[in-house]
Amino acid sequence: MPKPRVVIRLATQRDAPALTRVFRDAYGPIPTAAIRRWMRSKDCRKDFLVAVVDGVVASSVNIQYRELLIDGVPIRTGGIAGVATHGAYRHRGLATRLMKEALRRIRDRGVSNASLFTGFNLPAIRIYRRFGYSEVSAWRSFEDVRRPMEWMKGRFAFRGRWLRTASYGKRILDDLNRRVLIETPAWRATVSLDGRTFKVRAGRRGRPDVVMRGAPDAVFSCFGDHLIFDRLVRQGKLRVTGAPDAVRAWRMLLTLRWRG
Amino acid sequence: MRIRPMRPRDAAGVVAVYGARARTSAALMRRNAWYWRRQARDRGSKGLRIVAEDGGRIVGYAIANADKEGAGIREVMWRPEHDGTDLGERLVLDLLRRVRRRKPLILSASAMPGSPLLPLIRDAVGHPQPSLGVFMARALDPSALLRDAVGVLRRRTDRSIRLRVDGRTASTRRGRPAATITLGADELLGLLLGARDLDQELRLGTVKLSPRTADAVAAAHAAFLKRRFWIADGW
Repeated sequence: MPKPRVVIRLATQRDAPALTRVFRDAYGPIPTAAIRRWMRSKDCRKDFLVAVVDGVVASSVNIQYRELLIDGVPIRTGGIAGVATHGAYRHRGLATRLMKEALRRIRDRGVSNASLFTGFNLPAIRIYRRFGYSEVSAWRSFEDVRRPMEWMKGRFAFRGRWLRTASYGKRILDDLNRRVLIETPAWRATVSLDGRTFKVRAGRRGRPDVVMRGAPDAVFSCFGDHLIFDRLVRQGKLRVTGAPDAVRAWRMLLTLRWRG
Repeated sequence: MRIRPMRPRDAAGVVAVYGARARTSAALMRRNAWYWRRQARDRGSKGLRIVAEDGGRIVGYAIANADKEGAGIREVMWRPEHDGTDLGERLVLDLLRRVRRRKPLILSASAMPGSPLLPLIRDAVGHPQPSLGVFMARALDPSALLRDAVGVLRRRTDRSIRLRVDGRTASTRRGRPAATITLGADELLGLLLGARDLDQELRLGTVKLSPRTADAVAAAHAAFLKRRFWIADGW
């Protein structure tokens, strides 16, 4: 099989539909109009790089030139943003090649440093550490979920929308055809899949395949984060019972961890 | 002093509060007029922008945003001379009162360690979450970084400091240096951003100081003072 041809180049407005596919796969449901609007905005500066594999846009990195104020003195920084790779093109070193090119461009512009915002829970953090980035500071976050049922409905509606558009969505929706009971001292909720849409209803409904028990804060904090989910399970703050494959499928859905 | 909704004519006062805070902070982003105009037009924060006015002067402001998904405290700033007063607390509580009227599904807030906002939102919002978002940085060009560092150190101290970074040398002022500091580019960036502590780096030997006199140590501390307030915008 011939080796695929990879080209690193600047993105143009014509790449917007292809970039939408990449971002949808990496981040969730995003309309093409939003990508076009972002590419036109001042926030999206001219160094917006894409990796094209055999003519298909597969990965992207955007550089945002900003100024950090240190005691009011401006210091230019090359901010890395929009790092995304389509699922079908991961583990080929595309993001690494794009990052190398981005750092070269930042250096060529005479900027002394590069910076970025990311999450501890994202796999990309390993690439950033390999490139010499180190943690400067991390946010402390506080969240008060005031209407749990409505909030969870929103979270599962998001998962349903995402999975319908992502390349791996159909398979996962088929695998996730389970009924899950979430039980906290304050409330109980049942999550089920109705066709292609997730349903969240108050109370216990039918016989659950998976039961997840814990304090409300523990339940909320593991939405979208497999590391927190695993840690809370290890610490016994979250108890998840059910058949192993059902628990595995629930973990994927809850934490948005589709692979591994 | 009174707290009231932000009006269009408060724009200059709000920018001045941000500027005053930036002069005593480690890493606030520089914001241009376009940024502030966009903020003023943002529908999500309509009705959730307040200012603190003292004798006709804007001394602080607070902004939250809300949509059908939830509400979040976006920014609370006050002039450094009001540190240690209850101005920040009053701004946070007033803003939360307005946010709660909208009956959000979720209320969220975040701040960097060292920020005076952190204890206020911890008390007001509660429910601490595991840390997720992180700001990362690395030095790229030692020469450019040295130039940037000289600009910052000139602002901080009148004394001459000589910096030696990865074989390159620069002094903040002419004349005999009060201290010569030898360090790597990443250490210099960390000290400038307030992420590293000078004393600890000296102990670890990643930063070298000469001469090792009390006067040189004092000069180095004046150059790399620890900033309490620490915040950065996302992009």
